[in-house]
Amino acid sequence: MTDERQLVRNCLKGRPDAQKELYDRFAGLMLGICYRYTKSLTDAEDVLQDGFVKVFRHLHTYKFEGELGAWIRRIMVTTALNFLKKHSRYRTDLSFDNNDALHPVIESDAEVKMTAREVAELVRQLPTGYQTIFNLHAVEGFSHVEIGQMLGISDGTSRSQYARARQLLMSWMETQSMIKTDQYAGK
Amino acid sequence: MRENEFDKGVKELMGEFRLQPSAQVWPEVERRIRERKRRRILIFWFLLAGVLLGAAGTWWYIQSGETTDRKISTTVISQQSGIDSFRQHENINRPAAIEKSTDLISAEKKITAPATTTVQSVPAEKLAVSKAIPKTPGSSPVVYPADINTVNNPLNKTQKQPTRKYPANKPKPVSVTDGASIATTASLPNPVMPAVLIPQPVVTADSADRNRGVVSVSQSMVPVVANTDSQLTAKPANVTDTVSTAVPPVATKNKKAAARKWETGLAFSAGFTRLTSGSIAGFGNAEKNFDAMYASPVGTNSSFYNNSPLIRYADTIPLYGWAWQAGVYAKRKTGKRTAFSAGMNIGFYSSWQTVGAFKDSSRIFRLAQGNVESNSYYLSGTENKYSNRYYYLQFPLLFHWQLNKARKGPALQWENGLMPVWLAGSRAIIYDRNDRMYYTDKKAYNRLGLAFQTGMSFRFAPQHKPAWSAGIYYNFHISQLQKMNQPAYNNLSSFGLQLRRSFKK
Repeated sequence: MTDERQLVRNCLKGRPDAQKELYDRFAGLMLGICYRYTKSLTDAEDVLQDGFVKVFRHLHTYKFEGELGAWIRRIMVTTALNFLKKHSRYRTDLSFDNNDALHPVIESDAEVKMTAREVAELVRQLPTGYQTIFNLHAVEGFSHVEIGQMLGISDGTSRSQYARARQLLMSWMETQSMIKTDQYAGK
Repeated sequence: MRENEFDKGVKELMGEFRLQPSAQVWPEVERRIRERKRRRILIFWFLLAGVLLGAAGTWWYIQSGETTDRKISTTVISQQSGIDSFRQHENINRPAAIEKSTDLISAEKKITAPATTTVQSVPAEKLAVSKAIPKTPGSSPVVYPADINTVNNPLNKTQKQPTRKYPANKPKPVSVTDGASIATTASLPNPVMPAVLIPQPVVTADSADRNRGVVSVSQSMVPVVANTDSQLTAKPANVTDTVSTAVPPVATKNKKAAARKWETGLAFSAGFTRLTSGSIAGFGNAEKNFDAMYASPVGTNSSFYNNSPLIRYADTIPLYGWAWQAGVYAKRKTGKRTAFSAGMNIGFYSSWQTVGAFKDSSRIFRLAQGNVESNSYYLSGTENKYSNRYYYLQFPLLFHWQLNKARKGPALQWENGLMPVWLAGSRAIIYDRNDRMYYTDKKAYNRLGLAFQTGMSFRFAPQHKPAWSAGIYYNFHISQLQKMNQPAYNNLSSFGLQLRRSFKK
């Protein structure tokens, strides 16, 4: 923590080495977050870039209350949401209407074992609306009320969207798991 | 239960999910941080320069006034020694006679002394005031302050008479300060030097000066020193027998007004345009042309191009072109070496860029601000050249500072100021990164903006001919050109030669 404080102070002094160190320390984790909200690595890097610029511009507002990583994470999430709203290719897909065609029916109870990357890839394949709500609730831990406020939707919509996103993901995971099992069996 | 486990599992997995960003992210972050810092520093320096210029201008203005006053006092003292031999002339207070000495005169305050103030014989070492002494033959005549509107005030009459120049071999009339009025009486039989004092200013002489016959003028009383020389011409009896050398404030005001008159003229400048990235940068950057090897093929969205460090969007290079401005200006001196000018001109800026094939078909471009439909568009590429054109109505407000004395040669002037601009029209294309195409959208630009202008010029003012000046200029649009689909280089700037010519001398 002390090390972190010193790092922040050095960054505030405008020292390039400290800024680079801060970036190196958090860039990997933050790119993972950005990646989950976007559809391509380039977009994720754009968000990461914008996010870090914001981090350095607003670092003086960080009051050392809570972890620095959590503070940066919040900035990254907000930046990602702004990015989705700003870019038309996401905006058209960022509808929170009910889409029953996507509702999977989960019948299998098979155990699913996947890597973080695989799960992230599946999350990114969700429609943007589902993807965003799933990330905000399941990963970031925001309540549906908070999500509703952030996205300008009702908490009920957030809840239903989340439930559908989860069902969809679970079905995809099971399908992938079965494919994997078949591949292993084939060997 | 199963769903809760799923949530928990996903959260754990995602919480540790990391990806290694590509190498070009950090340099770009660093560039943006530094750029913002640079912009802040520049804004700070501009503000500081503006404040300093304003302060310097004010100081010059005040200083020039003080210098004039000091000169007047000195002149009064030096000329007072010649009072004894002062020759009164009937036209002594005529405008033409005053012309010669008005450089040193600033009789701005109006004299409010009563018209009944009289002339009294005063020894040189002691001057006194005597009020309301009736005019009687043989006594000193009444002196009327120039601006007192009375029927008998001779000044009111003499001012209307034709001007005659004061003889060159005669001493100049005594100059006065701050409304002080010095008058001499004509045809006075009294051999003692007479003096008329108007109650406000006073003529004083210290012991050293008294010996030399030097009298200085202070503000509390107006001295009116009369010459008793018999050669003085007598005044016509029907007018008055008093001639005053008091400087008519009207003439002084006219002179001052002439000096501060607005100079109007034509202004023209021509040079180069450069679109910059928000910082004031020089010209001559190597990145003049859009290089095809950096251009991603149209419609390509492959990971190779998206992840390639070679990827360069077409809107990430500075653009160049021509620029010219033409208009009118009005300039007014604010001090000895300072002036302020306001103007209005039309500004033209262009920028060239390479584009691909032209497509004469309608297409909708999806932007963050909404969809834009364009009837035609260009693909990205290097097959064609396109010249973007921007037409501005500009209102330069400049502060001019003369850097040299310009006694023999031309005056070197440095100018700085701000220029509100209004985009009157445009014929330009906008690059859309998503589609990698160029389209036209007149709503994509900021209509109103602000520019900083600076320049250096030589001013030539030959006699009897209109003044003209020539030099260099640089302007930088602080506000951005495009508000939608903003490119990396989004601030117009231009550099070139400027020429100004006043309408008449």
